Parts: sequence; structure tokens; C-alpha cells
Amino acid sequence: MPITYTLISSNILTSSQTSVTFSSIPSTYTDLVIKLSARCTFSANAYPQGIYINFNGDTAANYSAVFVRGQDTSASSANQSSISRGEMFAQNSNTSTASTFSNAELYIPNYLSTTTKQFFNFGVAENNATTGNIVGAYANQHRGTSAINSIALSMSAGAGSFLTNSSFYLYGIKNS
Amino acid sequence: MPATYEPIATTTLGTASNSITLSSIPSTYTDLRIVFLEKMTSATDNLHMQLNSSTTSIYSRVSFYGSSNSAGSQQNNNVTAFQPSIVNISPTNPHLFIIDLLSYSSSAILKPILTSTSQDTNDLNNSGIAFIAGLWRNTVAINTVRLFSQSGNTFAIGSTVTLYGIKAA
Repeated sequence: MPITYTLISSNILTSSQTSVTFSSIPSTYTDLVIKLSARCTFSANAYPQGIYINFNGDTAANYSAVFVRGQDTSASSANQSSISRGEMFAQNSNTSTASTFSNAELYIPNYLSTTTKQFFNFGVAENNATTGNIVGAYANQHRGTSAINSIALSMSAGAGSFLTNSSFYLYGIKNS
Repeated sequence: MPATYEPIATTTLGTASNSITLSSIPSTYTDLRIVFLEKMTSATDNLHMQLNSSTTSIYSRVSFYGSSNSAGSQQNNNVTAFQPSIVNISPTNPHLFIIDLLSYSSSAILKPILTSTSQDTNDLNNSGIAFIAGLWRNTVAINTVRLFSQSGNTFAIGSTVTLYGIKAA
């Protein structure tokens, strides 16, 4: 049996930074998975903040997204077409309960495809408070025509920086 | 460290087909994961799944879903197949299914199914995402999984399904 689900790269932040990039991703896998734990410098309120995803440095309007979420006591859904990034849940605000970090997983199937790619993520932030909690997921599409060789994760607008101790792990999965 | 998350079988369609069967599944793992990335050839359709060729009304499901502008949940009991999809599968946009079959070889429990399904189409129609919990009310080990379209429309060439085995120890 082949070895699969292999750690390609990891990044555990020792200082705040506005983005994390996995570059020079090898083309030897079938699917990619990113697992992350994050908290950000945003402090205007306790609401979790989003994370933007860009492949291969593409910031043109080649992405779209639909999400479903449960935030505190209500559920909602919406979609966005022709946007400049993929999106994912979530990272704890810096006014949420101290030392709480969100968790999320991003799954990118068939990342070597040279046609439209579908990708999926699921994220949670729970902080034992009446606000600032979320569980949600996104389906995203990237209408790029190249295999993915770099992935940038950055802060949503106005969210500041990823805080120290936020961690990011990139895995490769082989299907044969 | 034991080997885990092992690919047991992979099928990439070289010709369009309205079903894919994963058979002779070994009982040596703890859980199974199916990753199915697919499009339809032309007409949209829904995905269904049956286990061990069982066609009796012993499947059920509950879903939590979001579409273009609404979130909700729904339930279906005593049906003849498990439906992992929540929106019609598109012929032009890939649809991703991740289906977990937990404790699939246990003779002590009815078989739970956990599914995430996602499709974005860059428009207001047919985009959707869902988490679906299913149950197959049978205690026999799962050795065959059949994935098929509800109305008989074909999965497109290039659609790929992979079955992974996961060991707890």
C-alpha cells in the first residue's frame, strides 16, 4: 500500500502576520488538505473573522462561494459570485475568550486539474460565551486553468493579522 | 505508526456511466472514507448510495444545508437508498462528496453515515453545501458500496471516486 496523507509543510506563527503562504507545492499528490488553528488581532467585537484563499497568486474575480453557518443562535446561508478570493470560516476575534483559537479544515480535490476546481472547507469557533461562536462551511469554486502550486491564506477585510501561535498544516493525499 | 488512510480502490470513469460500484471491501480497517469528485454528462441529477446491494427501506437521513440564500434542514426516513446530495449535480461544475462510513465492519451497531457535499456554480442556481447524517439499519459488515444517479443520467468521463481505509490502531 502506498503511503498517503503526508505532511508537506507546517507553519506555527511566532509573531503576528497578515498572511500565510504555502508555495512550491509538489505535484505528486491527488488532493490537498490544510488544517489550521487561528486567532486574529481584530478586536472591534467578538465575532469570528473570515479567511481569504488565493491560488497561484490569482486575485482576479475567478472565485465564487456559497456558505452555510450557525452563528450563536441563528443559521443562515448566502452565495457570492465572481469574487477575487475563496473564503473560509473562521478565526477567533481577539476579544473572544482569552486563548481560544478556531479550527478549520480546507479540502482541495484534484488540485492538479487545469480546469475549474471545486474546494470545500469547514470551520468552528467556540468560546463559551453568548456571542462569537460559529460553525460553518463553504463550497468554493476557482475558475483557474493551472494546477495549484501555491496557496495563500490571508485575513478578510479589516481583520488585522493572524496572532502568534496560529498554526497551519498542509497535507498531501494520494489516491493510488 | 501503523499505515492508515490507505487508498483501497480508485475509479476514474473512461466512459460515462450511471453507477460506480466499490466491491470486495476488506474488513481490516476501522472506518471508510469515500471521496467522489464528479460531474454529470448532460442533465442534472442526484446521487444515491446503496450498501451491500440492499434495496429495502432501511435507509434514513437528516441534513443541514445552505443554498444561495436559505439555510435549513430536512429528514427522510425509511427510504430505499441514502441520498448524499442536496442540490442537483451539475454537468458543468464539479461536485465534491466526502462520505464517511464509521465502524463499517462492526456487527454490533447499525451503520452511521456522515457526509459533506458541496457544489459552487458561480451563480444563484444550484450552488449548495450540506452536512448529511445517514443511517443504514443493518448490522452486517459493509463490503460493497454502489453509487448511482437517481434518474439514470450518467456521470461524466473523468469523474473520480476513491475509497480510503482508516485504521484506529
